[in-house]
Amino acid sequence: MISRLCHGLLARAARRWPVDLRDAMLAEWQAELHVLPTTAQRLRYAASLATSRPHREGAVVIRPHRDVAHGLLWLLSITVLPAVYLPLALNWTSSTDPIMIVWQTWVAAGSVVAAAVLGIVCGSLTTGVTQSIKPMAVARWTTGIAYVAILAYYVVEGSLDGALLTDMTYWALSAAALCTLAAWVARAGWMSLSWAIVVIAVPVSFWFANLHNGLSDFSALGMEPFFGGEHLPAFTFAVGKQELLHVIIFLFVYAHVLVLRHRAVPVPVVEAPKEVAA
Amino acid sequence: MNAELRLTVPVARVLAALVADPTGDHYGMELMQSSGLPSGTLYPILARLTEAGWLDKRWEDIDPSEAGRPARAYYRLTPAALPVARQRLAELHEQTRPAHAHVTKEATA
Repeated sequence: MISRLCHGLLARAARRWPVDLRDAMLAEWQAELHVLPTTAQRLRYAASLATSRPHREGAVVIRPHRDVAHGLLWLLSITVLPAVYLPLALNWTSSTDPIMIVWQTWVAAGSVVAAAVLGIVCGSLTTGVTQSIKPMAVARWTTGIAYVAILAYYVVEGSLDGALLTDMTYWALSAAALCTLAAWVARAGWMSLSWAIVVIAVPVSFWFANLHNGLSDFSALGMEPFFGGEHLPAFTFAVGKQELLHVIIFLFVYAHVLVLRHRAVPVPVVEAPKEVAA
Repeated sequence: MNAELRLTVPVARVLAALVADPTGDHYGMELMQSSGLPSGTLYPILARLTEAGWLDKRWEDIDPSEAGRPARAYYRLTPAALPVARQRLAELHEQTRPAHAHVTKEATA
């Protein structure tokens, strides 16, 4: 099992290398992997290669069908997933009794992590999106389409009013602005800073999404009695279990991974005819 | 050989490990241990150095079925790269030496 996982990681790493080096590098890595004594060392060796980039980019294979499929998958992911998740999550976030609170705390924490992981996975699986949409525009498209999908969900649910519309509009604007900024920063080469901006964008845009809600006033929504009267853990819980927060994390991570995984298709060099060049 | 290679700290670590035994055959795992770099950092550096003409890469001459393992790839600094690598490492060492070391040296002189 571990051996297969390691070989899978190495194969994945090799696919990112230039075609002319791919087979040789894979053979070399497999030879080194073969003599590593412990499982932990083998996993670390393979994982490090799988998560790194080669010294130069491999040739980009232009596959329009793949890019269209990625685009459709991306569209489905940012519209259907929130629309399905929001009502489902309501079932476990609306109950408030002491036993459920403990369970909800763990599920809320798990949902935050799962949303980020899902964003990374989806971003890694649909890298062709940025061949159709410019990387700097991915955040705007992602938040714009998700904004329409979430509003449509609220319309169907019958809860859309002026306040909610205002909040969600502010959310979409702040999300698009901050995630686009993160994309620009990433393009300048500051990866860590770009991720920091994404992390900051989550609470900022979430605050905008709750402008007409007690959460924007840092209210714990009456959860203090479940946390020994302490405000901070109660407020953290009240925020952490918000299904919209998980959707926001998923969308932002997804959009940013797409930006980071973008590989420009090299522009073919056209040589001038000799008579003209002369 | 392209002598205008950008000497980052990880590249310097790899070069230092190679310069320490310039005639020896070095393989990936050994270089990971001597440079302290993870595989994901080391191999792109080795590939860059090889393409720039600093390293010779050759495959171990063994019969995998007899040896019970696949053949390894070995790296060695090219004769042209060795003096350049030594010089660049010495320059880097000089640049990164703490200021008080200069003062002590001058005072001793």
